Amino acid sequence: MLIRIINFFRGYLVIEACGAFLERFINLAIKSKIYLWDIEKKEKNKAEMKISIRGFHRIRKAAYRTKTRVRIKEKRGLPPYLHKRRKRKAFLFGIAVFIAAVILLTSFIWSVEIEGAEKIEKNSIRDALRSCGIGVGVVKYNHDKRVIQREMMKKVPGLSWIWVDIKGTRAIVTVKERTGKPEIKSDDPCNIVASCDGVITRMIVRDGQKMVQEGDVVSKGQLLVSGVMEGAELQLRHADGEIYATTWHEKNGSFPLSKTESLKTGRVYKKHSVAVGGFSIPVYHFKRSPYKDADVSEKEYSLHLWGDLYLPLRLKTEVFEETNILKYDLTPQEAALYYSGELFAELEDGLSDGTKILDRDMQYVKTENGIDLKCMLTCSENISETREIEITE
Amino acid sequence: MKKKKRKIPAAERAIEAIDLPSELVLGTPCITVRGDRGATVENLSGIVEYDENLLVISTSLGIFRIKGEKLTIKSLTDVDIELCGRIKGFDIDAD
Repeated sequence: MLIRIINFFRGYLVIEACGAFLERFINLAIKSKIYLWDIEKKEKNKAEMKISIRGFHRIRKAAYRTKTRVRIKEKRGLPPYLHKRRKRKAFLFGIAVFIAAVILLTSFIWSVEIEGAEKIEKNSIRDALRSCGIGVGVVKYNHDKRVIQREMMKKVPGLSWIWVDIKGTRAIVTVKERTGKPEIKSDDPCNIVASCDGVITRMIVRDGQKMVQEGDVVSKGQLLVSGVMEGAELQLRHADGEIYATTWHEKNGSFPLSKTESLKTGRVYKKHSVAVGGFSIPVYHFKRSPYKDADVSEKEYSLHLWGDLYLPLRLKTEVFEETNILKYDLTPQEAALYYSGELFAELEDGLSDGTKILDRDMQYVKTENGIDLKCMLTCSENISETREIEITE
Repeated sequence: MKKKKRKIPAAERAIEAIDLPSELVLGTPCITVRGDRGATVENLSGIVEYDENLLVISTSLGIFRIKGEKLTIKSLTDVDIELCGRIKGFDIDAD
C-alpha cells in the first residue's frame, strides 16, 4: 500500500514491451535495479508493465540488447497529472489558494493551554496573556517570549516562572506558582503580633505570655503575646488569643468644587465590525462616533466550532449611547459631603472581616480651586497575627 | 555412474543448529504460496519463461515452475517476485 502511494507521488509509466525475448528483457531490467511491477502478458511476445519514470530512462540498454520494442501506453501519478494541466490557470490558482489557506490557517494560535496553574485562576492568566499578545486567533509569529515572560511576571501576582511555547497552532503556557509563606499550624510554637497600629481595648489570651495591657498603644508588628514561657524551665508554646483594639484608618484626596453627572439621552449608535487577529474591519456604520459625549460599551463574540475550537474571527459591536454631561457647582460643604462618600467606600473596602466601624470623621480645607478632604474611620478589630518565634540567642 | 551423496556444508549445519532463517543468511530460496491466489518467491536468480499460464524461474537450488491461470507479476525486484493469479500446481527441478 505504502509503495503505491510513493509511486503515485513520484509518477510512473505503463509501458508495452514487444519482442521475442521478453523474459530476458525483464531479467536484464531487474539486474540493473529497475523496479517493475504489475507485469502482465497480453499475448505472445507482448507484455504490459509498470515502471518508474527514472527506470524508464535506464531501460534502453536492456531493450536494445534483447531487440524489444518499448512503447509508453499511459503516464500516471501526480507529476504527469500536474504536467498535463500546467496551462489550466484556474486549476493552478486553486492549488495556490489551497496551499495559502493551509499556511494561513496554521499561522494562527488556535488554542491556549495552561499547565501547572492550581491556585491562580486560569482565566486571569488567560486575560493577562491576551493583553501580552497571546490568545486564540492571534498570529503566532513575532512574539518575543522573553518580553512576554517579563510582562506576565509583572501582571500576574503569585507567579514564580512562566514560559510560552508555541507548538503548531497551540500555545502551551507552563506556569510555576510561587509557594506562599508556610502556614503556622495550630500547635507550632508562635507569637502574636499586632497587624496594625491601635489602642488595645480587650484581650482574650488562651495560651502564651501577655506582653501588653489593655489600654496600651501598640504599633504594627509589635509583640502582643509571646510564645516563650519563662518558668522553672523555658517552654515554647503556641500563643493563642484574640486582641481587640481601636484602630484608625485614614484617606486623603483633593476634589474640585463641582460635580458632573451624565444623563443618557436615549439615542444609540451601533457600530459592527469583524475582527481578525489584531485588525478589525467595519461592516456597518463606518464613522467613529456621531456624538460629542457618549458612553462606549463594547461587546465581542468569538466564533467557535464545537464549543472549543475557536476561529480567529470575532464579531465586535461597539455601542455609543449619547449622554448629556451636566456640571453642578457645589459649596465646599456640599463637595465635602459628596466626595467623602467615595473615600469612605474605598476605606471600607480595605477593612478586614469582622471589623466594626465605631465612628466616621471627615475634615476639609478649602484650597484655591477645590477642597482637600481627609476622611477617617475609627474601628474596633481583631489585630492579632501569628508570627514565627525568632530565636535570637 | 555412482551418484555422489550431497554433503551438507558446515555453515548450513551451523545455521540450522541455531534456528536462523536460512533464506536470510544463506540466500536459499523461500517459496510462499497463499492458497490458490498467489505466491511469493524470495532469492530468485532470474525468470526463464513467463506467460499467462506458466511461470518458470531459476533459483540457486534449481528451476521452479508454477502453473496457473491469468498469472501476473505484482512486483519484481532482483531478489523477490510476487505473483498473482489462480495457482494450479508447481514443481521444483533441483539440479
